[in-house]
Amino acid sequence: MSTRAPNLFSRGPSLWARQVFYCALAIACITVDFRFHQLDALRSTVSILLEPLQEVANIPGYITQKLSELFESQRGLREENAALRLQLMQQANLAQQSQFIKQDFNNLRALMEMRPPYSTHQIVAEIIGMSRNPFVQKMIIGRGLSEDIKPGSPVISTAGLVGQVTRVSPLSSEVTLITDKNQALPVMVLRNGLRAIAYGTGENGALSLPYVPVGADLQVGDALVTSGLDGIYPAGLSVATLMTVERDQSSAFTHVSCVPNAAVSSTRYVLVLDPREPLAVDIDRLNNATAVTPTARALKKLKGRP
Amino acid sequence: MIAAPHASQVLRRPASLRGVVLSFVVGFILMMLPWHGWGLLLRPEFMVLLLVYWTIREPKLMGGWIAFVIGILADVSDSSTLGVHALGYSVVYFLASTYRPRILSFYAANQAAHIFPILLASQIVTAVVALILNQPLPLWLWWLQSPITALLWLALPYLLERQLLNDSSSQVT
Repeated sequence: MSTRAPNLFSRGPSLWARQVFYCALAIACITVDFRFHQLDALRSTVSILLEPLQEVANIPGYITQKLSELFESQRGLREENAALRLQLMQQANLAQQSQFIKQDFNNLRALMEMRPPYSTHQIVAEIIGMSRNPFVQKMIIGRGLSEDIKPGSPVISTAGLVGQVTRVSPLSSEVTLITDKNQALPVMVLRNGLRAIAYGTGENGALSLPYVPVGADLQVGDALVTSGLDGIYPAGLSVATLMTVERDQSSAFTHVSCVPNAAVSSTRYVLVLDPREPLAVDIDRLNNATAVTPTARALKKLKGRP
Repeated sequence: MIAAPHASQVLRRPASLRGVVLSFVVGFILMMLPWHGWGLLLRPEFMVLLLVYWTIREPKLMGGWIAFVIGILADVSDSSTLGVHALGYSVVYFLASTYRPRILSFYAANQAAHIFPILLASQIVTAVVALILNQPLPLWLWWLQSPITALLWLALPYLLERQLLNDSSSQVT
């Protein structure tokens, strides 16, 4: 039986000094990663190394999923099939109309010499899982650099906007959900075009509109869609439904909370849209546009300033 | 009372490097299981537990850099800000190394009671970093991670040492 020789004469810096060094290094890492995002190369290298372990860890999940699919009753499948058929019928009508409207819209856009609002290029991705970090609202999808996913791309499901790609690894990407506390997105009330900014609350299934004046025309049940003003999300994506509207005498703002339409937990596939061109391009187009809209005028004024 | 594994004859034998590495790999896989919802909030901190265990059991094998590297790996796998776990694990390694003689002088349940503050310290570090980075703290359930992990401490030697016993007996024969 072998025993390790005791370390009688310790050499090198003390434990205290060494650990202070490692803590400082960790804090430096946090700062660099959070503020400057310069460690993404390291992260993707390490994530490739961890990929085999992740594959092993996914096995129990796959097995339970396969088993549950196996035991799903035929009746349940038939019901689901009927519901899907009905949905398809309802949407076929809309789809045909939308083709016509899109054509019309593109013609009008061309008349105004503006870019089309968003490209039709899209990638279907499977949701691999939710992020295992309890401090953020993120999920992992199974497409990455190899499928040309770009950071900043909007991600939607059949029900509406899910979030935005924030980090791309070779084989997977990380999507920050709109409910993450650090996410803000410009929205518009579909009924009357009132614009606002929706913030994530950090909880799954809740958004808030913190800066809406008391007098704003909002009703419970109003649908919120993206307004497209940020240059990231295309306009018109379904976002959320207003759940509570509280007008408080003591506050200048209305307390509004809403529920996102896209429930991530119940879908398996999402659609990754192409990120939009930077807004600067649109500004140039606006300046050249023949029709002088109030926005164009305001932008010109802004540009004229020193 | 549960017999103290660290005090028993078995543990006078040095652990094999292979066993240590294998335990860390298994710990990682356990951590990477598709935890979500409550499960994620209550997920035991396997890596911290193993780190403390091997720091106390085999201080010669462990080092501050191992804690740091494992922390970085954990950050990547949990997709948290790079360095959060590394910071927590470095603090854990420091505390475990410092209190090693004291912890070794106790029986298992009392050991767990001493491990608990170390685990809690790592959680507090994570929470403080989250507050500084303006991330919302998870539900209060999250704080139960430390007590749950401390309870696992009682079972840990039985899980790890049987493997080691088999290893050494097969080497002898």
